Amino acid sequence: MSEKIKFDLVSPDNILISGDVVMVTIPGGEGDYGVMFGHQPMITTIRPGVIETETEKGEISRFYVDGGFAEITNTECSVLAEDAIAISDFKKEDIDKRIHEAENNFDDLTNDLDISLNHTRLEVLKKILIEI
Amino acid sequence: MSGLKELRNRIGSVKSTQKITKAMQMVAASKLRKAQESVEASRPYASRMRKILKSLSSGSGENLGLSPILVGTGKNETYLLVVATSERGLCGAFNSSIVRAVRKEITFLQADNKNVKLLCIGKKGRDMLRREYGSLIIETFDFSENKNIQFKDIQDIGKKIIDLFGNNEFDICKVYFNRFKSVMSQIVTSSQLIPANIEDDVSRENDQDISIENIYYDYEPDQDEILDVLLPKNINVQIFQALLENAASEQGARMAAMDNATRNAGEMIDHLTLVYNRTRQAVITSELIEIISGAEAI
Repeated sequence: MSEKIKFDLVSPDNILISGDVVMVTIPGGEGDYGVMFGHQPMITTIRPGVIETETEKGEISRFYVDGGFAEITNTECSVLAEDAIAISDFKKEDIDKRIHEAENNFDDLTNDLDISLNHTRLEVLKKILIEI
Repeated sequence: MSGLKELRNRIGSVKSTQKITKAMQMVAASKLRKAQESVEASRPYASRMRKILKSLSSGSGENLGLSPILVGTGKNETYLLVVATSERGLCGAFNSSIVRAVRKEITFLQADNKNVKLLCIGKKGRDMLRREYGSLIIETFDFSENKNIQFKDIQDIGKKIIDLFGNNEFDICKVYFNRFKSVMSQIVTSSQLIPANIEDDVSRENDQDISIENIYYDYEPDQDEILDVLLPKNINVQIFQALLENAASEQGARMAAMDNATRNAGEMIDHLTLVYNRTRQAVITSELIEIISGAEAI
């Protein structure tokens, strides 16, 4: 566990985190990925979920992302998320608001993919709410 | 005597104008710093997205070209011009230079028998284009309420453009904005959104940090699906960047314009003060002459 990868989490407004980590867990569009040094280069979509990073010292940080993309190379992992927030900064009211929004969204959605994404979003948010 | 009073009033009013322009200049300077910071902050996302797009479109196989956003409709009959301007005036030639470029483009396109549609962001541009090309404007987005543009505000614009494209309302989409070069110079730039021109991008000049490596990526789910999601997002990102550049340019232009105005007001005050003093002297002299000649007459 000595080899590190560079992890960036960027949103259009700013860089949320950029640093060396040992492992990143990403909620990919087709299942979760644990990314470590030497991972196969890959570009993937991200579903709403939680990104978990672990540094060399074993510190774990968690971020909620509302979909996006990830670019993975041997030594780097960049996540492009339009909407991302550190779980430790997440306020209960904020989650409630998002859950409420997601519930209301179902009426506007027609596309099957969007509907299933919205279900995932709702589930993840509720899980986070329970944790907090 | 009234000449003196008038002059005094005039000097007073120029002085207060100078105070206002000076204050506006300082406000613009501090806003400019903030605007520049947000331009900087938006770059990593945009450049990474471009990198992904590039590797998707260059390293891809024969399936590419399914998405019309990338390759266009194959026609170039109807153009949609997105005109990004400011919400407020008093910023020098900022708005008029964009509008001038757009006018030129419209004339050129119409002479070529193309249809032109306009989508205005910011009401200054709309006001200036409405008289001549009112019938071409299909939509105006107003940002006067939110001072700092955030990415989620752009979603509506991007969605509108994609909906229009989906309904075959236009074939080619270009966005016009001012690229921020320095406080003194902002460059009117047009950038093509649809068909997506990956090489010719909003901020390609700042792209040195991204090296194009030849890495063969795996794609999950697959290339086409990623492209389908990525391309609309890329439009949002490009508009976002354009608006941020525009916001920085606007403040820069306003700063320069207000600096000029302050200096002009200063010159005017100097001139008026000179005239005022001279007139006062003249009045005093003529009063003295009157008194002396009156005394001599006795």
